[in-house]
Amino acid sequence: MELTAQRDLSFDRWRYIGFNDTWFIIMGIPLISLFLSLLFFSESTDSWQMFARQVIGGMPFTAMYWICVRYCMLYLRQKYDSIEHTMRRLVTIALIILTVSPFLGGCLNLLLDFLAELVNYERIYSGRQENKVLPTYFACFFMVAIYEAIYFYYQLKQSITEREQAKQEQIKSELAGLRNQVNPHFLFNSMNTLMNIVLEDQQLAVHFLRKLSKVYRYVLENREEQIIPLRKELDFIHSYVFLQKERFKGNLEVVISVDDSQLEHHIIPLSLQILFENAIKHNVISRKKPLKIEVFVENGKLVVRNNLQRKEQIMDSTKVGLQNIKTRYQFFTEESVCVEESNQFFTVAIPLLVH
Amino acid sequence: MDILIIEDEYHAQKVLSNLIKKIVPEVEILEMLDSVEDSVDWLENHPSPDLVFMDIQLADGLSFSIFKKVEVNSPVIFTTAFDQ
Repeated sequence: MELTAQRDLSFDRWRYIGFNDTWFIIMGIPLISLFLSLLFFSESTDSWQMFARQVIGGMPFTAMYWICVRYCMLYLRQKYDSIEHTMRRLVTIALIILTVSPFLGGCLNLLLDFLAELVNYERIYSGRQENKVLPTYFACFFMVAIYEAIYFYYQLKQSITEREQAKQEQIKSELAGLRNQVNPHFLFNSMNTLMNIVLEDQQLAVHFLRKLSKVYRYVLENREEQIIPLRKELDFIHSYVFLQKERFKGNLEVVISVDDSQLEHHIIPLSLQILFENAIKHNVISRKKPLKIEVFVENGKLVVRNNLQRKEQIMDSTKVGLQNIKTRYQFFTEESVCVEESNQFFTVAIPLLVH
Repeated sequence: MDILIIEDEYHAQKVLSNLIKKIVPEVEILEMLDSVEDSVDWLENHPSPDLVFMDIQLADGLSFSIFKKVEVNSPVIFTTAFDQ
């Protein structure tokens, strides 16, 4: 338990840094010390031994600044997670560095003095004691710059992958959509019904054909849309239900009670239709056992509920449609698609999206 | 002539019954049933009709399962768009 928690934490840390920086720190501390010594203290040291002592003496300072800067950045990145807050984050860290780092440097200096005295070791000073604040700032901002650059690159890469994934999902769901939504069985069944209607009632046949073409036009026009107003989908569902009711007559009852105020919310196109199709496909629809599908809004979600009377036959491609809806919703909202099955009802609630 | 129609779709029922009546005006259509369950129930409780028209895909399953549950002594004509 503890182990997983620890692993999660370190994983989380990598996410906020952008990479595993253990080796970066181990290599970076001596390198920055060397670099700073070259830049600021090389003229005040007269031998290479002095210079080496200067580099080594700088390392505790570099290490301390590194740890503090890294900690602050991690903290701020967690607090201001989004890209829009980058400016606020950078200003905050700059202010922290400007105010706190000289103080920390001073403290460490005193501590080292104290320790050196304990062991009778003579610390070297780089002559220009008063100038120490400049290398401090330099070191800190240098660290920030490197970390920010890597983090920025990481975020960029991340967002490109995410977009790529989203595109992939979209293509996949379009394909699955084509497979599911323009279900060949639906067309086949409709044609069959139409054939019978033509013989009996030409007026109705024309009406039926008109609705059928309306359904297919909607599918063709909107299957590439990401979201669509509920009003449009419901309008289409009415046509779809008309066709299905010609097939099942009174054995299929559909009650749609959605308040006008909800109609401008959005849903994923054809999601309602998939749910209707599932209900019709998986349940007995007979005179003795009519199927009732209800649509209503509850707790900000669009609920599709039907009485559960499963057909005994095992149906293929079960859950593909439902999974498809769930996956597509993940791109638009944190809220989940809820599926509930009781003895009496099968209920699916899909989030209503605010455009 | 007594006839039983087992067919789950309203329009198909209508077309079929009209067609039968047109060809054999004196026919009596005893009942139109739309599910396996109802059909089994009906066949168990009624004398065998002279002829049964039977769709294959019914509201609650395939009509073949009717024969597993009840003995059908009438001749059966399958009327279907079922393609397998």
